[in-house]
Amino acid sequence: MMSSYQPPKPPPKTPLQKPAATTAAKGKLTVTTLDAVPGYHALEHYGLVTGSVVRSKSISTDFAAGLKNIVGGEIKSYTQLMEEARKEATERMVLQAQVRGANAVVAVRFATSSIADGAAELYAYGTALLLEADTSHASPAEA
Amino acid sequence: MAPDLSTLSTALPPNLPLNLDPNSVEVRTGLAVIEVLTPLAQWFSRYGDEALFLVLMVVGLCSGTVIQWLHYRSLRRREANTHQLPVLSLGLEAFIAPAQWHTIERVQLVGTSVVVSQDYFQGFWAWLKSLVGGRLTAYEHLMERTRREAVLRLKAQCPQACAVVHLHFETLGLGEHQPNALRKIVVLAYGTAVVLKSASTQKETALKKHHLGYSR
Repeated sequence: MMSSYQPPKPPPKTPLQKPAATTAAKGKLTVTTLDAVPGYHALEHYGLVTGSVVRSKSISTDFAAGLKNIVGGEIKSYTQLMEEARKEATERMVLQAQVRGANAVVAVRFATSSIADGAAELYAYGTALLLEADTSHASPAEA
Repeated sequence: MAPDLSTLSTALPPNLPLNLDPNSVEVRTGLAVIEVLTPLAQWFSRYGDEALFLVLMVVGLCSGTVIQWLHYRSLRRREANTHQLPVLSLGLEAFIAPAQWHTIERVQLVGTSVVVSQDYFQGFWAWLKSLVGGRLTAYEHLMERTRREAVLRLKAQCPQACAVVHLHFETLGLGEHQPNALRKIVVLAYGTAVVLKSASTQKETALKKHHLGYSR
């Protein structure tokens, strides 16, 4: 005799709800050196994300640097080189975080090292998080 | 003056005709120039290195002193103009209590790097000092003003912020492994700019009135 057992119905399908923070900061990824973003709490940790850039001098920049080495002062071409390297390292780190689905990178640190003559490495690392806006701090009366 | 052209003619290939008149204007002028240049060339070949060294030392000392003086003056002026934007190495909790965090609009990573070079005199002085040891005041000044410059550029990056917290410095020396290499110092400063919700717009306009950009 067939039992009257009926398997439990699957729950009604609902469209996947995105966390509030991802929609609030659409396309914008918060990058900070702080350990947490104020007003948000972490939903998920995606681990360490890193970005590394090794840049080398060119002949033209080194010629100007050679002259500057006599008179002293700032070497603008090298400053520009390091600025580009810093931005590129940050971009690579952010890209890794975006691929993992994070909307924030916290506790970002930079490290530098001189690998060979004229070649410098710039290394950026941080922790990728999925954040959601706090409700407790949403209104000043509650807090 | 009777120039002897016999050695010159034997040095040339035999089939090349050499029709030089020893008394012509061209030959006399050329020989007069050679007569003046020869002792100069001899002097330079003997003392050229020392002369170049002395010239570079004097140029380095003068320009280095002038650049340092101008830079310190520029730093003082710009720091006075941007004193209302604090830069702290503390965390955010020390600056704004967690209960007030709802007033924060956003936090944002800011970073700058500055590369400076020592001058020729400083390099030699550092080498001399390394024999006896002790403080290298010239380098101390160089590092100090480089860091202050980096912090000022951080401030210029985020004029609408109320503070820059969690400041970190990263320093890198380039070309320090070779004895006569170009020595450069890279200073990287980075931190988190805090932008408040209400004050963001008025703060920006207030700070934009001042001279924030870098100029000498």
